[in-house]
Amino acid sequence: MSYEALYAAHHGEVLRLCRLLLANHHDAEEIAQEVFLKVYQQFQNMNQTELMMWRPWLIRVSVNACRDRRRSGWWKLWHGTNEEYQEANHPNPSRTPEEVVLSRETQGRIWRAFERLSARQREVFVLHHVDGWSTDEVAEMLGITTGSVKRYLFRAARHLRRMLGDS
Amino acid sequence: MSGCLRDRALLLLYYGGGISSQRTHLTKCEVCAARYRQLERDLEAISQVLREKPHPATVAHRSHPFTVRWLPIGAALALALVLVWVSVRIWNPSAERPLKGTSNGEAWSLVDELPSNLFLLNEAMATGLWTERASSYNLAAAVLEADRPCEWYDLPATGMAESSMEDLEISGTIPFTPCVELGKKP
Repeated sequence: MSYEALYAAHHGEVLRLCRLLLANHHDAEEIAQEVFLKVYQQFQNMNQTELMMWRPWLIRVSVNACRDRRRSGWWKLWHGTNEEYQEANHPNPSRTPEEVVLSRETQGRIWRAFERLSARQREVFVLHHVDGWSTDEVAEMLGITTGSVKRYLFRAARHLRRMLGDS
Repeated sequence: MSGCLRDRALLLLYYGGGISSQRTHLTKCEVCAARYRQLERDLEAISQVLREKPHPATVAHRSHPFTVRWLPIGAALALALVLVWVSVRIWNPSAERPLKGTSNGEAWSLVDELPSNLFLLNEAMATGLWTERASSYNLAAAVLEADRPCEWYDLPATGMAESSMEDLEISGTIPFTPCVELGKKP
């Protein structure tokens, strides 16, 4: 697989993951670029005949890069919760205006609830529910046990349901 | 609904936890099975929303991120500055330097500015002290405590300190030690 093909296949997924973990589109784009720069360097160094499971590697590198970004002092000061979801705006002509408003409201509530999860809960929830990795795979990518993954998932889901139920 | 599973148990079962009796109950109880399916739908709906890229207009900077983010930091810095200033004022000996070279004349001019009741007890003793040799320590203490008669320090903690000095004078039972003992001679 060429670098271009790899980029085309996975850039969207990496960008979405970074956006979900950082809640900041500009930072997500920056981190995604950093990740694919690492991919390029990896491409240069590796044997062309070597088979590599790029997707888990990309996810792992992306999660670590996002974590490093979140830990950096200036990012914490300036971004912490610098951006927030106001309301989703996905026009759908088949819906009535009332349904559109309700849908926007629901989506906004989901995003706000999601952004209140801890960083680790977000990582685990996104990898399992959004990207579709199994709990074992998530555990391997994040370097934690499967039991820990399930605990994080349980807490994340419970918080989300509580917050969405309360609001 | 008695005997039905709680939400927590349903979530545990969803993520592969729980115990066998709960799992058995889930297969038999229609109410719990319906709640379980609802849980699945909720989580799928959440995942679906997160999968969709939000419209750029949906993410916006807060109107006052600087104020909100920096307010506690600013308050902490201000508090730290105040603490540093106070500690320097209290513990740094150099803070007392201006009074070290004070002549007797200057000292008396400062004393004149103090409340008159500061020295109402034993003027003779006080005069003796000041004419003997004015201690810069005594003077510094008096200046710092100008608003409160130094005798109040020696009142027992029985609430008398809250009485006015006039009351104490009238009763003639002022149990304080003279001001001259407030500072020791070096």
